[in-house]
Amino acid sequence: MRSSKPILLVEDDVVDVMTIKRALKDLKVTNDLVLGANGEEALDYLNNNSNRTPCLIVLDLRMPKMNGLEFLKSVKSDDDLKKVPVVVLTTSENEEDRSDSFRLGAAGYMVKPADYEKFVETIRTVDLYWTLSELPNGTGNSTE
Amino acid sequence: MKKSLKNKIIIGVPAIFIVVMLIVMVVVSVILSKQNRKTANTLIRNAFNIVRFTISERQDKLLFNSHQMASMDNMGRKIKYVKESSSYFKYDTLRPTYTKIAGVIYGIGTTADIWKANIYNSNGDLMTFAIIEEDGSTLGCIHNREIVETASLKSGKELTGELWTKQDNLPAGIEYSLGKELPNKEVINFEIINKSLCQVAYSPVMGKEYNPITEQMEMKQVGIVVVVQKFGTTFVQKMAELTGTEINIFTPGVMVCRAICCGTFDDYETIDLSQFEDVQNASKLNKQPMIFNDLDIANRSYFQGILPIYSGQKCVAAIVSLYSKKMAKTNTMQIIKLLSLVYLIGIILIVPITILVVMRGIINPIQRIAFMMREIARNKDFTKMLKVESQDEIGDLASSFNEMTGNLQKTTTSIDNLNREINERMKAERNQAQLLKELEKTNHELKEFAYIASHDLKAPLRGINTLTNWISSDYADKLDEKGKEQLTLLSRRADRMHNLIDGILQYSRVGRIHEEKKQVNLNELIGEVIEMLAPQENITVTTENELPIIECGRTRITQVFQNLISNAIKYMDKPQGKIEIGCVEEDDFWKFSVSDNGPGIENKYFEKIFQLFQTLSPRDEFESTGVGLTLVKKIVELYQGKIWVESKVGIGSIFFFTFPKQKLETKNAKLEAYITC
Repeated sequence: MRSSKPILLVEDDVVDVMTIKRALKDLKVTNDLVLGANGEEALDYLNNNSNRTPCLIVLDLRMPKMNGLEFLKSVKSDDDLKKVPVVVLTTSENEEDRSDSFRLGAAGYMVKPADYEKFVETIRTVDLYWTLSELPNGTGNSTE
Repeated sequence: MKKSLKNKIIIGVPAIFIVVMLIVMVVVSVILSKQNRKTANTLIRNAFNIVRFTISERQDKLLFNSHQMASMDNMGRKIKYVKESSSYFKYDTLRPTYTKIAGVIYGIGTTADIWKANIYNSNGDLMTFAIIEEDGSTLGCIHNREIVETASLKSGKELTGELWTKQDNLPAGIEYSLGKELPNKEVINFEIINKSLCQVAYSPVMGKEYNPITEQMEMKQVGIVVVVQKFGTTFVQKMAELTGTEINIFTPGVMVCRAICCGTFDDYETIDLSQFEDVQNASKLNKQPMIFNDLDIANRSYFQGILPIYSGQKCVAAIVSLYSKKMAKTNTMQIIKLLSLVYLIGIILIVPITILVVMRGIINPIQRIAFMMREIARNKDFTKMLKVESQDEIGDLASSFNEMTGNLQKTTTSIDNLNREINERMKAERNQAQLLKELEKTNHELKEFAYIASHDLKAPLRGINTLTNWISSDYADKLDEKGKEQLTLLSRRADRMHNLIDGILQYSRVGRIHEEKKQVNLNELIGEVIEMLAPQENITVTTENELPIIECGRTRITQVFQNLISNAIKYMDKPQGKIEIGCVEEDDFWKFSVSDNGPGIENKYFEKIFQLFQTLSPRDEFESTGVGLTLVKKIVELYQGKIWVESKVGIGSIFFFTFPKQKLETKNAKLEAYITC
C-alpha cells in the first residue's frame, strides 16, 4: 500500500500474526501494522480519534470476545469507518461465513493457506490490489 | 283405540265376516225364493194336474153314468112309450113309468154324486128331473108340460110312492124344455149353473122304432139325458186335500168380469176373468194355459196358479191353486237363522284364532324385531341375534335381520380396527416427527461440531507447519541432516493430521449433508476429475465407453471417482500406467469400473481396504489417510449401490461399483442433455 496509513490487523492467533508480519516483511510492505487481538480492541482503536484511521483492515473471523462478523457489522454501521475496506482473512472455508461477510460489507474474503509460501502469495495479491484501489478523500489519501 | 294391528284385526275380521254374511244372506234369500217359486209352481202344476185328472175322471164317470141312465132299465123303451102315449094317455096311467124313470135317475144320481139329472124327450120337453143335494133331493115328473109331481126326500131315504105329490108349478131352476137343440151324441161341457161351475153330460136315449121305409126296427134317439155335476165345496175340499194347496173356483158373478169363489180360501173372493182370452179348442183340458203369479191377501202371501176353464171358446171359470208362502218363508228364515248362527260362531271362533295366529306369527315377531332394533341402535351392540323360529316370511325377515346385523358388526369391527390403525399411525407419525426433530437437532449439533472441530483442530496444525517452515528456513545453517530430517517429519505429520481431519469431516458429511440430486454427465465429470488430479505423463486415464448421465449429487460422485482414480494413480507401480473407466448397463443399474494395472491387492484384503483408516502400506510410503475407500463405499451405499474389487497381485485391480437406475426421467434427461449439448 502506498499510503502510510496503518493496516489494522484484527487477529488473535500469535502464529498467524507472526506469519503476516513476516509475509509483509518479505513483500517489503512498509505500512505500520496495528494489532487488535479481538474485535473489541480493534473497535476501541478505531473509535479513538487520536489514532490514525487505517487504510485497510485485515480481519480474522474467529476471535474471542467479539468475533469478526460482529466487528464487521459495527464498523460498517459507522458512517466514517465504513469507508475503510475490510478484507476477511480466515481459516474458514464455510459458505455461510463467506456470504455473511459479504452481506455485511466485506470487500474481500481470503482463506488462509496452510502453506507459508502460499500465504505470502495471498498477502502479495492483497497488497497489489489495494495499492491500485483508490479510497475516497477524507479517509486516506493515496498520495499522502 | 290404539292403532295397533291387533285392534285392526279385531275390528276388521268381524266386519269382513259380517259383510260377507250379509251378502251371502241376500244371495241365499234370492236363490231360495227362486227355488221356492219353482217348487211352488211345480207344486201348483202338479196340483192342477191332479185337478185336471180328477175332473177328467169325473167327466168320464159322469158320461158313464149319464149313459147308464140313458140306457138302463130299458130307458129308451120307457121314454118312447111315454112320449107316444102322452098325447092320449093321462098322467096317472103313465105315472108308474114316470116314477120308475125318476127312480132310476135318482138311484144312479145319488150314487154318482150328481147334482141334477134331467131327461128330455126328443122334442126337448122335460119329462123327469132329479135334483140331488146334501140336505135332500127333489124328484119330479112332468107330463105334457101340464102335470107336475114331485117327491122330496132326505138323503139316504128310500124313494116310495107316498112321497109323490102333485105340484102346481115347477120348482125354481127347472124349465119345461131344454131350451136348445138336442145333442145327438154324447157330449160333456162345462157350464155355469147357479153361479157354480158344473160339468154337464148329454147322453141321448135311444129307442127302437119301426122305420116304414126300411121296414125294420131302428135305433133312434127318443130323448136325452142331461146330467149335471157340480164342482162344489166337496170337490174343492177334496182337491185341496189331494194337492195340499188352497183351491178356489171362480165363476162369473153378477158382474161379468168379476168371478166369485167357491173354495177353501174364504178370504180370496174375486178375480178378473177377462184376463183370459178366447181360445180355440179350449175344451181339451190339457191345452189350457195357466198363469203363475203372487197373491197377497189378508196379510199373507201366496204363490198363485190360475187354471182357466173354457166352455166353447170363452173362459167361463177359473180354478185357483194357492200355495202359502209361509212355509217357504219359514224355510228361508230358518236357513238364514242357521247361517247367522254359523257366522256368529265363526266370528266368535275365528276372530280370536286369527288374532292368536297373527299375534304369534306376525305381530310378536315384528315387535321383537322392532325392540331388538331399538336396543341395537341404542347400545350399538351388533352381536345380538334374533331367534329364527319359523320358516315363513317372518323367519326370512328375522334371518335377513341377523345377516344385516352380522354385516354391521363386521363393519363396525373393521371401522374400529381402522380407527385403531389410524390412531397408531398418528402416534407413529408423531413419533416420527419427534424423531425427525431430534435428528435435525443432532444433525445441527454435529454440523457445528464438525465446523468447530475442523477449525479449532486445524488451527494449531497450521501454526506447527508455519513455525516448522520458519525454523527450517531461518535456522537452516544451525541444523544438521538429522535435524532437517526431523523437521521434515514433523511437518509431514502435521500435514497428515490435517488430511485426517479433512477426511473425517468429509466422511461425516457424506451421511449428514443431503446433496440435491442433479443430472450429471459423467463424461464431463471424469474429464474434470482427471484434470484436477493431473496425473503424470506416464499414466493414462481413459474411458472405455460412453458414460451415462445419472441423477446424483455432483460432489458425491466426484468424490467417488476422484478417490478411485487418485488411488490408482498414487499406487501405480508400472512404468506405463493405464487406468480405465468403464460402464456396463444392466436392467436396473449401471456397473461402473475403475481398472488399473497397478500392484494389485491380495484376496484376503478385499474387505479390509474399505475399513476406516485402513491402509495397506505404511503411511510413510504412501501418504494416505485411509479414509478414501471408506468414503467411496459410504457414498456408493448411500445411493443403494454396491462396491467390490477384483484384483490379481502384480497385474492390476478393478474396482466395481453399481449405481441403481432412476426412473424414466433419467433416460429422458440423457436425450435432453444430448439435444442441448
